Amino acid sequence: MGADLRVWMRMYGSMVAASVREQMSYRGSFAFELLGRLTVTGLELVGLLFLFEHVDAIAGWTKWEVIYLYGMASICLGLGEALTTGFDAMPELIRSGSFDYVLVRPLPALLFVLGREVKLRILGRSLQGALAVGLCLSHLMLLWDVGSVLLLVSSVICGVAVYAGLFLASAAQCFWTVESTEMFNAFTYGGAQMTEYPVSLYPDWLRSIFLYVVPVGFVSYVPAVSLLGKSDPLGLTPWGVWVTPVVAGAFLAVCLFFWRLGVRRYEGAGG
Amino acid sequence: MTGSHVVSNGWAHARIALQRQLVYRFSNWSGLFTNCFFLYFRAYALRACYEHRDSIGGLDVAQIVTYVTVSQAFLMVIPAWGKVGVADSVRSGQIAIDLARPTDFVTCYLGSRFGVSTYYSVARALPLLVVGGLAGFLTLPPIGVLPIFLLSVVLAAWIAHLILLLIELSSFWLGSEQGVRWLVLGFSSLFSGLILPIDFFPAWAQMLSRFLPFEQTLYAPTSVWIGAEAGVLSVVGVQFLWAVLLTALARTVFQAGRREVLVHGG
Repeated sequence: MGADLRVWMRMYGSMVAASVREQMSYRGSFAFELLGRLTVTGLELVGLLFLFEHVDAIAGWTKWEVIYLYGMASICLGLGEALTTGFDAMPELIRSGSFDYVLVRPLPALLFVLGREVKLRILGRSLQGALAVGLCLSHLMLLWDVGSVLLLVSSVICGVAVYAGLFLASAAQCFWTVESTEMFNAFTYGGAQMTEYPVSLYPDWLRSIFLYVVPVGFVSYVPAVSLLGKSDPLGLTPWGVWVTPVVAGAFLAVCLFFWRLGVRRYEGAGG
Repeated sequence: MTGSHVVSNGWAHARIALQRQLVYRFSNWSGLFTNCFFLYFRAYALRACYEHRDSIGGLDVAQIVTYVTVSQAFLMVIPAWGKVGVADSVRSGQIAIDLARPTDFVTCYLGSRFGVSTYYSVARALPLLVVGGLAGFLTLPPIGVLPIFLLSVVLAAWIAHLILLLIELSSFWLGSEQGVRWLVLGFSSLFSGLILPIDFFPAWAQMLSRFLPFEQTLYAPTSVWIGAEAGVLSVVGVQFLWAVLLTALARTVFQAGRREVLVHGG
């Protein structure tokens, strides 16, 4: 099993490297698209700055604190999206039946589909987010220790895991619907949009969905409250900080299970 | 080609595009679902800004939640994003066939795009207005404003579709239009008032916005609805000028692109 895993990771690695090389052969268009994507997220940030010319705080969170939330949402969504661009091919793979060829590769289907394409240009969003987070952390002048660095890193990992899980579930859904649908955008792009602001400002029913069903809100809000030392009207901290990795891991596991079901369904249909 | 031919041609394209959309019903339901979430997120977030004040940029809280509802409802009718297929046909060479057709390219394009917009007015805008209304976000405008609002939506869709066309026409020269697409999306999501109403912008940005076409897309009709602008007729007048200007521009760019293709031996 251990040896298998090593072989798989090496194969996945070489597929990703090939995909990156391919993208780099069109350097001009790569740079242009990266720049374009940076503009999109950059101007979103400008929108937030415009808003904070009128208000000092939203739901008790100041300008730099909201920018932190925005930046983290961008980093996690961007990384999750970049890692899972291979899924874009799913509708076509299923419709044409080429998924059969995926299943006979000496590599788990999931890793093969993911390795086929990793679009670096999508990282524009993460870059922008990292810049925003860096700026506000330097403004907020927090006291840094090992604990807070660990919290920041684990917060990114948990966020990426939840977004990647959502993209995985969205791809798995193609086994039933064949087409990809916009439904999951409510949680991926919508989730990023929602967690730009503290989740405490949303009504109960909406917040509960994003805290306990699709935990995009949980993995964004809880570590942020703890790291920035905010007061928490929802009572999710400090216990939530320790639970966050469990929540993210469990969600990813459920999405993986959903993918398994999909693959089994595809095989069962004689594909 | 006579004027009536141009119109009937455009009309036929609109009808076919409308029929094509009707096939994807599941896709529309899931899109509607997603739109609802975005509507709630933006409405609640902007409403939270009014915690300690009654007015921001001249808009009160009832106006802002109405603004969010109307702009989210008409987002697909007046699209800022989407492939319209022109760039793909430039790359595949299919464009050569379009060029050989004895029809006016821009008219047929606009016709089919208006078919798509008509579909989304019924399938997306109306349900979202109802959802916003049930959530208590929507204040209706005076009845006399509605015809001007609808006219403003038509002009806004016209301008939005021309912007999408111009993005894709850039592929005549650039090979890939992806960079331009993202660049324009960035500017349009801010300056069309999707993220924030332009009333919230600082004076310099409002000034800049006046020289960009994006304000004429989503913001113009929405501001008519919420009564943010004193003279609604002047809003529509300015939109009309932009529509004429961009139509002329699209035609010119298309002609230039056509020559480019001919030079390459298309």
